[in-house]
Amino acid sequence: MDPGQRKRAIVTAVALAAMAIAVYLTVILKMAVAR
Amino acid sequence: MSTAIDAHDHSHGEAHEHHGPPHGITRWLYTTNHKDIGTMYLVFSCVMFFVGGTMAMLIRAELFKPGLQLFNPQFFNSLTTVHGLVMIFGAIMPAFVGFANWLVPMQVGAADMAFPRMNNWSFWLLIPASTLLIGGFFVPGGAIASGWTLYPPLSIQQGISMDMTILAIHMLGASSIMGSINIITTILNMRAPGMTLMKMPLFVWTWLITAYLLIAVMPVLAGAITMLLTDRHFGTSFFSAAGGGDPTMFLHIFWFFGHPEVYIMILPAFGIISQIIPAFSRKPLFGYASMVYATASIALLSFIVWGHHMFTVGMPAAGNLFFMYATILISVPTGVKVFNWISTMWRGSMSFETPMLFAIGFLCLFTIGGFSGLVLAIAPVDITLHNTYYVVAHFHYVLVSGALFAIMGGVYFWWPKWSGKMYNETIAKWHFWLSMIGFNVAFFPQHFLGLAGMPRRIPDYALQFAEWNMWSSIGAWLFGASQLLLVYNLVTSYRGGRAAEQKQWEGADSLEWTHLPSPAPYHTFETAPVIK
Repeated sequence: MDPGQRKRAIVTAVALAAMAIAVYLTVILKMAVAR
Repeated sequence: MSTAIDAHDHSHGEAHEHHGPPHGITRWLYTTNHKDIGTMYLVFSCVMFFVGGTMAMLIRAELFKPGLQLFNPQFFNSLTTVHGLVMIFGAIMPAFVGFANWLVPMQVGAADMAFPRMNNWSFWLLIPASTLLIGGFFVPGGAIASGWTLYPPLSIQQGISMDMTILAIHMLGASSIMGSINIITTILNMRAPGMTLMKMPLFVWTWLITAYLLIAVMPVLAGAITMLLTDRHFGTSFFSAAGGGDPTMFLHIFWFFGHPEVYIMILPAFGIISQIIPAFSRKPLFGYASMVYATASIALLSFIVWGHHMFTVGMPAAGNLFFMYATILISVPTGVKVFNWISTMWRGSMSFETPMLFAIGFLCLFTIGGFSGLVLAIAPVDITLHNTYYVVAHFHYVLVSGALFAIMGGVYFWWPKWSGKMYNETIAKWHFWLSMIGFNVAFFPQHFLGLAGMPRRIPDYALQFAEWNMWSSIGAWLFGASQLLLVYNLVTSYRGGRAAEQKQWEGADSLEWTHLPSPAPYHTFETAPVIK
C-alpha cells in the first residue's frame, strides 16, 4: 500500500469501528434509559 | 464483468518464490497471508460442520422413533441449541469468511487484505470462542438448552455454560466485525486501477454488502447478550419480568440482529452462485447491475422484517401486517436474482461439472425454502405454523440447500485454484447426488410434520408423526455420511490428484482465473494489474 492508500484505509477502518461501537452503546443505553 | 488486459507478467508468482511461506506451526500461528488465513477459516469451518453435524445425527437418532431412546430432554435441548450455534457461528459464517479471504484480494487485484495482522487476530479468536461454546457440555449443569435464540427467562436461569456462551458470542462478534472492517476497507481502497465498483465480480459485491450488514447488526446482538449477562450477575432487570423488565424486548432486539443474520449467511452464497452459473453456462451473468441492486435491496429490507419471527407474541394487528407485507416484499429482489440466474443459463453452452450441479441444486432447493418462507410470512398462517417442524424444514432448505450447497459448490469450483490439483469428478458427483437425495429425504417430510402440528425442540412426539420422522432420520444420516466423500475427495486430490490448469473452467473470467496460475502463488498482485 502506498502512504495515501494506507491513510484512506485507516480512516475507513476507524469510521467502521466507530459505527459498530456506536450501535453497541446505543442499544444498551437506550434500554438502560427506557428501564 | 471486468476484463483485464495488462497482466504485469504471468510469471509474477514464480518471481517471488523466494518469499514463499515459512515452515512449521509458526506459519499458521503468525501468518498474515490472506490465503493462509482463508485456508484456516475453511478448515476450521469444516471441523465445525462435522461437530455440529454429529449433534444433528444424534438429534435424528433420538427422533428416529417415538419415546425417549437415548437422551434425557435437557440434553436433547442442549444438542439442538449447540447444533444451531455451532452451525451458524462456527461453520457457515467462517466458511464464507474463508472464501472472502481467499478470493476478495485476488478478484479485486490487491496483494492482500488491508489489515493482515487484524486478519490473523480475527481468525484466532474463533478457537477460544468455539472451545467455550462446545465446552459447555463438560461443565456442571451441561450445555445451554435455551435454543440458539437465547430467549429469557430460560437464558437468565441457566448455569455457567450460558456465561461461557455469552463470552463466546462476544468473541465471535468481535471476530466478525474485524473481518468485515478488513473486507470493506480492502474493497473500497485496494482495487486495482480500472477495477471500478461495477466491474467487480458479484462475489465481491455480495461480500461488501454482507460486511456492512455484519457491522450494523453484530453489535446489536452483542448489546442484547451483554444485557443478559448483567441481568444474570449484576442485578439489572432488562429482560427479567420479576424486576420490571420485559422478556419480549429481548426478542425484538435479538431478531433485529437475527433476520439480517439470515442474509449474512445467504448473500455470499448468492455471490458464489453468481460466479459458478456464468462459468458453466459460458455466458456473462445476465443482469449484472440488477443483481447488485437486488443484493443491496435485500440487505436494506432485512432491517424491517424482524417482527415476522414473533407474530405470536401479541403485537398489534397493524404491526403484524407491516412485518407481513415487508417480508413478502423481499421476494421481489430475491426473484430478480433467481430469474437472472435462469436467464444466464438460457441458451448458454452449459456443462454439468460438480460445481454447476451444486449451483442448480441450490437454485431449485433454495427457491423451495424461499416459498415456504413466504408461507410463514403470512401472519395468520404463521400463528398455526409457529414453532412447528414446518419452520425447521423452511430454514434448513435456506441454510443447508442454500448456504451449504453454495459453499460446497464453491469449494469444488475454486479447489483447483487453491490447491493446484483437480478433484475426482466421479466421487464429487456421487457426493452431490447423495447429498441431494439425503437432504430432501431428511427435510421435505418435515413440512408434512409441521403442517400436522409437530412442535420443534422436543425429544418425543405423538405416534401419528412416527413414519415421517423415521424417513427424516434416514435421510439425515445419508446426508451426513455422504459428506465424508467430500473430505476423502479433497484429501486424496491434494495428495495425488492431477495438476489443475490455470483456467480450469473454460467460462470463468475473474482475475484469479485469467491472471494467476494454479495453485495461486503465495504472493499475488504485488504489482496491481490494470483493468480495462
